[in-house]
Amino acid sequence: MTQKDLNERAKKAVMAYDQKASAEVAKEAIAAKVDLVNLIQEGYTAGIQEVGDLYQAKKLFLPHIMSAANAMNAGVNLLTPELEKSGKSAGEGLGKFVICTIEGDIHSIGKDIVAIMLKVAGFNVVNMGRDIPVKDIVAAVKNEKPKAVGTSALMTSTMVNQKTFEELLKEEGVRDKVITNIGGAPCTQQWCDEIGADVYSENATDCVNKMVARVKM
Amino acid sequence: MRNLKADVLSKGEIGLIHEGSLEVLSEVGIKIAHAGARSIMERAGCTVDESNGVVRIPRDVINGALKSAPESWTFSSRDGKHDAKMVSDGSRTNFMNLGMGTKICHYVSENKFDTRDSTIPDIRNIAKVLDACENVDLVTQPVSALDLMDKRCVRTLHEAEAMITNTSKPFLLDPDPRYVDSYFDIMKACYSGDEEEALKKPFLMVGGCSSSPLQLDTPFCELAIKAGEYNMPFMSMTMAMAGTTSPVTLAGTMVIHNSEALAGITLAQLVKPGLPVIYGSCTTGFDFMTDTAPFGSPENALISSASSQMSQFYGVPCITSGAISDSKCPDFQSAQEATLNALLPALNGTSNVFGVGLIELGMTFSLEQAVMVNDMIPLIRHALEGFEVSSETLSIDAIKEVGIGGEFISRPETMAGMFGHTHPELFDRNMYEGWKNTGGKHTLELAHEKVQSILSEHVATPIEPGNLKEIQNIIREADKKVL
Repeated sequence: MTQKDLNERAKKAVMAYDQKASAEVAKEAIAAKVDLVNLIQEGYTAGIQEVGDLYQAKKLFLPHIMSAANAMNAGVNLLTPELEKSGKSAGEGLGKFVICTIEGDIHSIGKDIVAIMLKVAGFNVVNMGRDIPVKDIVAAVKNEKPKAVGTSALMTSTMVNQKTFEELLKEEGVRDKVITNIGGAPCTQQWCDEIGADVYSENATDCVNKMVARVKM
Repeated sequence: MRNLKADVLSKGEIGLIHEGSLEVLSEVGIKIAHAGARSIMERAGCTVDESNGVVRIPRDVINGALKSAPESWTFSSRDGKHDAKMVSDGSRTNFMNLGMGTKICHYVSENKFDTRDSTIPDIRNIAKVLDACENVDLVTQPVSALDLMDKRCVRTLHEAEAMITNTSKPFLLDPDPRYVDSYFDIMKACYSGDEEEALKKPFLMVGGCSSSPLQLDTPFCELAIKAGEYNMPFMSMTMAMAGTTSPVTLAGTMVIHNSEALAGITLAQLVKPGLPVIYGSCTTGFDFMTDTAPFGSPENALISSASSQMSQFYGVPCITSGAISDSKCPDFQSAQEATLNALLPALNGTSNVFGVGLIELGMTFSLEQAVMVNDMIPLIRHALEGFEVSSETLSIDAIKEVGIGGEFISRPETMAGMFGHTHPELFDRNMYEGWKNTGGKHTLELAHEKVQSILSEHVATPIEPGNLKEIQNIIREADKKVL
């Protein structure tokens, strides 16, 4: 099994939303000692990007992209420990993107969709989860040194923590080290401007479009 | 599949309206202006008073007529691709436009409309738009050609030609009883001169409207008799207005409406037993604050629903007004009214909702209103279906697998079932930014754009050139005879 064949099979498994086939390819690739970074980039990522393009064109929909992401993860999760052993990484792509649902808020599905879409677009996404204390997000900005940090708030009562986050970033002297991105149903462009966040996104596609443009600036 | 049903009348109430109507028809009777029709009724066992034209119809004559009326039949389309099923068991609801208005509301720009007298070119445009509206099942003459009013020609035939050349859907005429022979000849011409085919698969329906309270005029009777002769479907329509030409109570209005509808159906069945007939209602309330008979009212929705129930009780397909509005242009009022009076009769299982595109109490047609209602129909149909509750659809296994805090988006059932949910074409479901980014247009603007694109691009199934020439000859010959 050549690198090219494995890449092609990985891509196909992702596009067929086939977790089992995806994991099989990963196992075979490890055994065959092919270039795993190349497999991720030219196989799995190529597959999900194709699904992402079809989503953008409204030929495919969220269930397809989420299923494709699950299929991709089924393979990539097996490859990651191998890469770590050999000290390699799959690359930073567009850069690191820390994302979470903000303190006090347990709504996560929208944020998880955004995380997947950002990954599809080429970001190295660190999904911290939900109800993440503001101080922990600031710590992540310091430790992970991401290009961008996205916070999601689904309630007007937790939106205020996006403002607290902006203030704490300033207090800790790291505000200018990171692009801040806010989202969630109650958020607006006006709120984004008011609290001094960098990018407002209305939905996952909007987030990807604006953030890709922003990091390429 | 159809799960939802909302009854306006209980079984007992249906019985009361039925008995009340039989009492009225047998004791008060109905005035029939046409001597030939009176003698048909008399021969069947009715009591006729020739001094005043009143015909008293006994119960068994009505029951016999209802027995011979077909419970379901197919209203043919001239291309065979748009046949409409007419049923009386509540299992199928068609949507159609309503006529006859005399004006058309032209969209000029947002919040600006120009309402003018309707013309032949308007009729062509309306027919084309209705033909392209995939959720409109059959059509009727929407407006009259006021531009032909003072011309030496047979207006009804020109109107019919404007309709059938631009839509192949089954067509309820605005019939002139003097020209039923020509209507039949037109059908025959469409079928390349095949008379058998025209008799077997008529795609034109005629109908008459009673004059409330309790009168059938000459044109009504002539149309019923001619329809029987040519096996053309016949609609017995009522237009009572509660508080003026019928009692102020809706129950009393139902008795008047039902008596007239039954008398019309009885006449048609006596002329030709088994003739496909329609139990029709455009009966509505009356608003004494404006001195008008509004169509957009809940009273109309209730009367249409009750009429639909009576027709199901009789086993005769019905056409009942709905999806119609009193607004002067497509707007919030037209949306609300059309929704309410389409939904209620549809929930009741009416065979035909009669009103797509009509506004201003039935006098004005709006192309934009028509395409917006066309977008609403699948939403109503979807609501009528309800949803299935079964061990499979309860999805307990999936719920267990996903567990707390997970997601259902990437489930294979989601991918398979996502298209079973509604997605309207014109009604926008984006959030603000998404809407703005996709053009930021309001529904009415989108509706207008759709109308424009239909008018420039849509082509109805054409009539064979030779057949069309023959139709034009028929009309030309008829025109020549007009003095």
